Amino acid sequence: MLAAMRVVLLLAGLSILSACMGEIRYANVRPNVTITKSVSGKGAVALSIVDERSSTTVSDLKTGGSNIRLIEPIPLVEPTLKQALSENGFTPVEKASATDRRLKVEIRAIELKIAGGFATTSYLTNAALKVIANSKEQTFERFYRSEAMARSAVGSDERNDQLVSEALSKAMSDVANDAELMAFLAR
Amino acid sequence: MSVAGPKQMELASVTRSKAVRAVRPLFLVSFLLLGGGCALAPQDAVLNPAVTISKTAAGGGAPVSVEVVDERPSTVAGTRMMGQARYIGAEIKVAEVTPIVEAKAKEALVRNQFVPEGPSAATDRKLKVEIRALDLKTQHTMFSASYLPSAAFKAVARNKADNFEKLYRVDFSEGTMWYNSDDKNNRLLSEAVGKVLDDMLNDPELMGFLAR
Repeated sequence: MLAAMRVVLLLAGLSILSACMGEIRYANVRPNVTITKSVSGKGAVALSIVDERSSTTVSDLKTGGSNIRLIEPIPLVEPTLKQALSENGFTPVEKASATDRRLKVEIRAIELKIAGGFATTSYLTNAALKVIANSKEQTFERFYRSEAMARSAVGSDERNDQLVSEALSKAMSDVANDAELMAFLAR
Repeated sequence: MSVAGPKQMELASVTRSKAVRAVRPLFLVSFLLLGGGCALAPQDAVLNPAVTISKTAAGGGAPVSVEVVDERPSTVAGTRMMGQARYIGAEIKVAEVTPIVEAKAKEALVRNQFVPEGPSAATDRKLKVEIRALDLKTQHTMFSASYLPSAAFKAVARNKADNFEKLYRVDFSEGTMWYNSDDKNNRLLSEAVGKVLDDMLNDPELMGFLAR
């Protein structure tokens, strides 16, 4: 009898533990940005994008569910910025190219904070990009941040991915459609 | 044992639907009350960092252009926690840090005999402060909680053709048996900012670089 109870207790403990151990899920982020032409630029712009996030974790386990990770954000950002440069008349080239104009984009953060409330849960998303542009020995620096909060009683992986995608899209759109930045590069 | 006839069954059905109709508003009111309780009230943190800046004559009246930029990835420092159910999960926001840091940086320069100028002033000496992080994380256990305030500021200084860069970072923890009040959240965030400013603005390396 005692032995049987021990086994039951062990199984119960293991099942509780396994429920508490958050699995890792890789985010399916799909940014969507509409680009508007603001200048008639010309010439080559050396584009470089670096991942300067303090962690590859997008969201850690707080109220159940998975730890969400995003390992490689550069391929998500690069095509949009290349398109923005092309739409404005520039020719995006590799970082090492010999050109007067350079555009460096640092990906500083892509995060989803999940906070459990009394009956609903808050989903706080944010993305941050820092731009350092050089044109003829002049420097232009700007920090772009997007933040949003959604509340929901029920969450899902798809919804989490959508929220993260929206935050990143907003920050990328702010960079790609920044008329001041494009005008600086076009000088 | 008696069997209910069709008339009795109809009467019972009418009574049941009347009861359901009567209970419905009660449910609605309960849900509204619950919803009201769950309307998460964010806290707008108020910072009042205490910084003691030592006085030197290093600057000798040299002008320094000062710029402070907010480069935090999020203006949300943390979330409110246990105690007041309707606040659990609400964010603690710190909307404006730049004016506070700018005022302290200018005060420090004055105390070191520099003359602080605006960011676009044409000066040989420049001091740029990047506010990289300001957070108040919490860790819960069954009976207590830990508060983990942290702040990170980066100083980027220029003196003629030379550059100086340094990251200043503080993090500490404070345990509590109960939830934190708004005042306590404010105090912890202010302490984090105060400590990091203390380290940066009393750094002889930074002031020495600007004074060269």
